[in-house]
Amino acid sequence: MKKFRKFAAVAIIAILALAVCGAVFAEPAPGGDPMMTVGGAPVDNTPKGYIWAALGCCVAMILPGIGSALGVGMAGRAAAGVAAEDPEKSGACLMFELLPATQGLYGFVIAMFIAVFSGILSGSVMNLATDLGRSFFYASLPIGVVGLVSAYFQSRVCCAGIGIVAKQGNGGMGITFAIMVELYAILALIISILMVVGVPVNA
Amino acid sequence: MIVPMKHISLFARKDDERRIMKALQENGVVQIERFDGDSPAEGAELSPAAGLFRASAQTELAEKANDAAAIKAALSRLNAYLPKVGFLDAPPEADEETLVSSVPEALEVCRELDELQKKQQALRSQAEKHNASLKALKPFSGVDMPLGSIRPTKTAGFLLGLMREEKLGLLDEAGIMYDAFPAAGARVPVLAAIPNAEREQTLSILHGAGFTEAALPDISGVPAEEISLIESELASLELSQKETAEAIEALAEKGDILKRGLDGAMIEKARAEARCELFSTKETFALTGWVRSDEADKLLRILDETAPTHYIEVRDPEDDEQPPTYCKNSKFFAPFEFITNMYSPPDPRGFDPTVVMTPFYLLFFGLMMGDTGYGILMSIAAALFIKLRKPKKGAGQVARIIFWGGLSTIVFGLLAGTFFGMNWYDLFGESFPFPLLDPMKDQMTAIITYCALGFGQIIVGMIISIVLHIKNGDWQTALFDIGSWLMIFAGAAILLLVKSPVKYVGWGLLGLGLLLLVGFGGRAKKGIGRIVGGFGKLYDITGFLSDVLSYSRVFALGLATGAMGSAFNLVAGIARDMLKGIPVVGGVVSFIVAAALLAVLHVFSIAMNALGAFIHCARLQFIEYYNRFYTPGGKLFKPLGIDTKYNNVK
Repeated sequence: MKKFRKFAAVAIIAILALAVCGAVFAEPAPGGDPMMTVGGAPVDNTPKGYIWAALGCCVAMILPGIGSALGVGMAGRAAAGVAAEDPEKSGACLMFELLPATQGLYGFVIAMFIAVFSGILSGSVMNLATDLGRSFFYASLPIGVVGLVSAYFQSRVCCAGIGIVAKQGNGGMGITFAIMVELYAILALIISILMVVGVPVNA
Repeated sequence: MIVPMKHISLFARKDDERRIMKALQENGVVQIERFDGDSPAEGAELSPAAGLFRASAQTELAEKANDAAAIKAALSRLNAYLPKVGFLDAPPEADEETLVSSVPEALEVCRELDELQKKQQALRSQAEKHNASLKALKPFSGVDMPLGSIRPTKTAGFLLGLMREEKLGLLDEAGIMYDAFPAAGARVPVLAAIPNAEREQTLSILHGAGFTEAALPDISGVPAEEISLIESELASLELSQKETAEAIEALAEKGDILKRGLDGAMIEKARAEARCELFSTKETFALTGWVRSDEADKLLRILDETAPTHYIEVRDPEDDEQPPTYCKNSKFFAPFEFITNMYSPPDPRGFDPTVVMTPFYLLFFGLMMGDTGYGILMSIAAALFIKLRKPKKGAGQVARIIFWGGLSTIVFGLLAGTFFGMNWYDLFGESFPFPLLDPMKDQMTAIITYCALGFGQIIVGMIISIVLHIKNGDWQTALFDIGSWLMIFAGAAILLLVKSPVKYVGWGLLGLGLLLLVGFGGRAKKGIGRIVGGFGKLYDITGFLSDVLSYSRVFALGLATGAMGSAFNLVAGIARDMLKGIPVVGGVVSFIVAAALLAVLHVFSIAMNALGAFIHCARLQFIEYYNRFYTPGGKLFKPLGIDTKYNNVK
């Protein structure tokens, strides 16, 4: 528990630090003329949206991915313990193990969305305006942070649910308890989707 | 629909007891409960006859349970050698007689297996012992005299041990008599003479020189000869170990006997369990339990056929009794009882929600999966599974839910989804009329539509609740607590949608609903509490709001399916483009790799999304829908019957 708090804090701070770095390096010089020179030296004034878009892609995949890996890992250990005693219960345990896996998939969906919409896949990302790129980065934050945290806490409910399976043979309401945590990942996914598709790339 | 239960008390001759129990089990009509004594036998002490009977029944149960456990253990021991049962292999068919009669045969196999295992254990421990002797003897293989010949003399004893060759000089210096033999390792075997007079001194010198005494097994021969003897014995042990292992493996051929025997033992165990609940006098026995009201006649007929001499009393359950719940639904709805039972079976005096839940379940399941291609695959797989494997109970119900869910997915994939992650208009051009609602392009419309559908489900739940309350004569709850909200919603809807003078009707409904809610919501309390309670009811609006918003998950899950599918298509496409560059074979290789990738990734996507849709959809029913009207807390009707695992009983 304490370990996870520390870990989550480090991960989120790292992402914010990345964002600050991005902000420093990805700011275009004022003016907007790509050929502008300062004191004779040429200034790189091309749009830096691609850095932000790539950062967004990373955040959307990395944070929920970590959360789901942790969560599935924890639930998997509990499930293996029950299955070792009674292999017939492994089916019910598998359901619980897979529940925290969804956050990583949601993150993957958003990462793919950003890759498609920002033009990372088609290569047009190099012309992405800095502000638009930054919007993609912000869009990755809801699913990134909520995915990480909710996968961990959902996994704790799942482990308790596997306890129900061990004692009673089937999960029953345990599945519903675990699904309750998922709502927040789903809400974050919705907001992330709305933010990504709302970026006016072609405007 | 919940089938009412009848309580039965049966009295019959003890001689007919086994026949009756067998007939009851074969027909599976009665759930037997412990004889409760509210019948004519009330007040009767547990007579010696009754006590004897119960004790013998319990002994029999213990025996049958032992049989089942032994066969089960044998099966799990042989599991690795048994032929694999495929996903679509139907279990063999057998009748009850065959199953029960193969129990002794199966127990015989268990005994054989047990003996073989014991033999294997003995062989293993013998081999371990030999290996230990061998390890101890090996360093002394250079000793060319029989160990039995080393005996103390009158004045000295002898010690055999090991020490480093370079330390032998120390013994020479101290004047100790010794004999060194050829070394078979890092240290040489040394036989030292220890004079009785200087025993302590000599020993300390020896130990100081790094001499360690030999700890040899009890042998008297020459070590080298003994070693070869043990080695040949070990070889023969290994051979017989291998033979035993093969014999155990060969027993796996009798796996079918074991499976039949286990099913037979489980049938007998169930009956023995039920017999423990009976009550008996010297000549008669009594049985109490529950029977479905629509099967009561069948039960009477069965009893008349098996044991004409009997007395039976069939009556409705009394108010303080909790009968089991049995729901009877048509072939289409019956599998969806599984969903309800996941939450809790309905109260036996309540209302079976399966029929009013199923349409919503299928609607939201289809929207959450939202991919026609996936729907087609799911339906085909489920149909094959049902047709070939003929699953029973839970697995059969889930397979049927997936079949119907797949059909619903096909429809809603066309209306508001994708085909294997591809957009319909990418496939068929911009003029293709489907999907009618594209969550990718028009997110807000999709979210609002799905939440509106959810709101519709909640309204239906409230109407059902009103009907149920009125049926129970509780018109106050129906009108003040639920009807008032419906009026508020209807009024608000009219105000929002209609502009003509009709909108005054809306104001009227809204006002009336609010008045009823605030005025009578707190009717259970008196004075100030009543007014506060009434206004407190207004706070329920947050509950409605969060329930409706909960349906936005339908949008997210539906979109996630399509997006995941299209992402996987993209991945396969990239792989194909990369491999196309390979000269000559590029075309073939890229096609094969891309096809394999697509197959694996899409199957994964179907599995994950179907799991998500199944569970999230069930949750919407439990929390948002059932909370409005459902009374849980029943216990499922479990009649004494034939419940097998490996064989289907004809």
